[in-house]
Amino acid sequence: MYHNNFERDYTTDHKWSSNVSNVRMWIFSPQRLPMHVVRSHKFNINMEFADEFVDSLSSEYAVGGDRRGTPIARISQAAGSIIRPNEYGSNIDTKPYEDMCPFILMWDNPVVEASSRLGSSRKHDMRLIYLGYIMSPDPVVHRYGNTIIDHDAPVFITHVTSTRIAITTGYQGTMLSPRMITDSDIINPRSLLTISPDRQYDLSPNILLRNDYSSGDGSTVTAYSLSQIDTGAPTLDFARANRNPKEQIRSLYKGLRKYASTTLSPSMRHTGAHDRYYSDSYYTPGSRFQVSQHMSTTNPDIPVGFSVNSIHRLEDIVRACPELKNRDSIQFIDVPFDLQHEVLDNRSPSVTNIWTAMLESALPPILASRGITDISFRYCSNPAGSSIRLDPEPAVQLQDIGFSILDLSKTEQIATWRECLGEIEREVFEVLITTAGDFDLIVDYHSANYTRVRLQFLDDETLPDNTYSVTHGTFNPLTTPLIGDQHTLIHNSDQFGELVDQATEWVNSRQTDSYR
Amino acid sequence: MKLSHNDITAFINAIVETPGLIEIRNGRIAWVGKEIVEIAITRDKMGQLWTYTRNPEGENSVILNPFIETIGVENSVRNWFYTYLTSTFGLHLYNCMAFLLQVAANQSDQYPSLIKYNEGLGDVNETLLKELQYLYDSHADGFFSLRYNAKEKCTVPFFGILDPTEEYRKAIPQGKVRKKSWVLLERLLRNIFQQNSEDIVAEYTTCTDSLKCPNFKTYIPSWYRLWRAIEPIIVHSSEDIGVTVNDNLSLIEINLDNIDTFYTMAQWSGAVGQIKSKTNPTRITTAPHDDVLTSDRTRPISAGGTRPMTNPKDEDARATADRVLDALTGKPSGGYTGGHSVTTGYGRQSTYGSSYGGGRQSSYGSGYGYRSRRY
Repeated sequence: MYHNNFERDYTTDHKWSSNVSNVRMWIFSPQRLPMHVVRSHKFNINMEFADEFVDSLSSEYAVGGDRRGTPIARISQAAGSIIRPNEYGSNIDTKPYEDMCPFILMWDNPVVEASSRLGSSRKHDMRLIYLGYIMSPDPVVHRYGNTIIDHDAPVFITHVTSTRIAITTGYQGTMLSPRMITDSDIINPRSLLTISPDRQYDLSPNILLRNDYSSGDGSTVTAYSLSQIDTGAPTLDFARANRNPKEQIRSLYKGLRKYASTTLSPSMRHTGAHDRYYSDSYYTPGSRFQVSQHMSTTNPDIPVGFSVNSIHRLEDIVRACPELKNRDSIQFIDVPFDLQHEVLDNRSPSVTNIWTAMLESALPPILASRGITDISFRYCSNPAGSSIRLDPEPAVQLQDIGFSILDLSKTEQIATWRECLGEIEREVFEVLITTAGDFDLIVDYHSANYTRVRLQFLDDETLPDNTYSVTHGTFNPLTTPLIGDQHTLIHNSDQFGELVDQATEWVNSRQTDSYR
Repeated sequence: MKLSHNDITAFINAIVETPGLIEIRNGRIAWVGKEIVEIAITRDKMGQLWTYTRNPEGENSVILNPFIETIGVENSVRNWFYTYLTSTFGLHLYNCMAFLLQVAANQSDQYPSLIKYNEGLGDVNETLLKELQYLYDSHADGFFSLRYNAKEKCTVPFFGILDPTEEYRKAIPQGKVRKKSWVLLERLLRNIFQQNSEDIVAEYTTCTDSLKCPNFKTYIPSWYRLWRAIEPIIVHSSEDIGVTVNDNLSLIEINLDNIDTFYTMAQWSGAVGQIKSKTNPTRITTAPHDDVLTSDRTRPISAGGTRPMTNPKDEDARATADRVLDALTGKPSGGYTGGHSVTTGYGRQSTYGSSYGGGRQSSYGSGYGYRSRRY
């Protein structure tokens, strides 16, 4: 894939070790970014789902429990059918980023000075991986045995993952147990507005519900401007997990469950008439707002490593990581500028474009959660093309796989891939088959390079051969579906709010019953 | 038999082409011999309307997918779809009635199959025809409507002439329609629908307990049965007005049982052109205890905006109604003027503007106590 020795360095020589604090940086020459249409997530909550949602919530309080599986599992299963990428996307101006150099920075076991009251420095057993862009034509030059760095070059971090690694010893011996604690897209709001001026609103589920607030005079005011992204902020961070639509619904459900348990808790029930009046009156925020407070929020700034909430210069990066001054710690990789294949025109609201956008959105967080950084696979949901679908065995072909942390054996790699595939099938493919039909899918995913997706529905032969939807891992955060235009914001806010209203209505009616 | 997306397309095409005013042109929905229908995607973006397809061309294509029904908001495609079907049926019903009265007035024996519809009408003269035309021209949506009641999950027809509350009659200025004319027109309607009592409404009401696209699932069977009722007349009356009504009812009938399957298959896309009656992105909602004072908990406020308080849903609906009339008469319409009255290009005045729209429950429909078919 790459001309230089990146493949060898990055894929085989990046074993994590608990003993040393190590930093490596790979900087790539500028790459073409194909024309891209961003499709924000759009809710289409139908009555079937709303009914299932409220039913699941109420079943948690049903005597004798629920025999149809856990409510969260039922909600998860139904959730896939209600979130779609928007039919009408926003065109992205990728040109400014075609002049910048993408980079990967991998920081093992960062040492933090005076991290506690003990006043001593402390090494964290973790790996931080940053992706981003360096705004310089020649950020690093190796000459006469020296590494010459463009000190003033601005560095934009677009994505960060942090994985904490626990070392455990059991009957199998000493094992490393990685756990991803952060997987965030970092977006500079001003850059975002430059490349897509109409995408100004945060569509994160908890933010959607905060548009409603109590005005103090007994009214609830809805102001969508509260969702407008803060252009004055240096960066915004979005948990990548929310790119998976089901995750958004799970987050809402959990928020509602907490709201319900708080509202229906014995201490709330038996506080007498005064509190009852109090809770219904002017002084409490609307139920939508209360639910939003119980929902998970985006990741906080990571306490170790670089602050993602500020713009750095290359000099700052090197100062924070003196190891980068070592020769070969920073590698400059010259890669071909142009793409090697035809790019899918993804502007029309066709089934292929909509669902390709969904795959590009939902797959990366699932792969990242398993530590997979690079993977190529083909998946055909119904290889026999049988018209009668009696759970046919899908055809799966794994061509290549790479991991971010551990040097796994072949058996472990396959086992991890199978687990991951199971999750992808549950979270994405099931919905795809149910709502759009059987398909043949080719995915060539690289977290820090081009990702190619070719989705061919078996009953639709209009997709030209050798055509792929192409995105770039470093640029990908800027195309997050969690930011959208005002039209989508109003649509989603109404849909989400309506669902919450129906659910909280049930909670409130149950609370009222408990007073009787 | 395995159903395909082509079956959905054929089903939707059959429905929209039945009234004879729409044709499918290269996958797009167009007025016969005229331009392609355009639908608002957002407030400032229009798109060409495509019949159901999985592969439209162009980034601003709007797909007619009535199987997508969401809570909370309406969408402009669905609104167009139901308004179009209701308006065109109302128009054909009026034409059928006018045609039958003309046959009766001429005492023509050219149409023996239509004699049964004119039974009991006695002598029909030009005045009765003019009165019928007045009723339709002034209150087209009150003359006939087919509306979905989301709360009951029922689609209920409304015939102004049969309105048991007589609200419709009271809205007609005195002297415009004679008392005996009301009786004759009521008799004519009953003859057309072959019903002797107020059961006409019950007969053509459809309800469902299903949560899968209940609007579509109740509307289309009602609409289909209404078409079946006027079919023997319309083959003659439509020729009279120069419209070729398409004989698609058999195809529609076959697919009525496939709606649940189509619903599942068509869920791949989302709702398009969401519309909501708000003038700006700020709204104020009254506190729960204020419900006793106002039943409308959501009211738009003007936050410094200069935009008139118009409901885009009404605008779309009215534009569609105007277009239907234009298509038949070949005359340009005045279009929706933004207030609560509608003036069309040929002098029609409507004071019923606010009740346009497929998703709304007519105030006339509340007093029926109908029995209905449940699906």
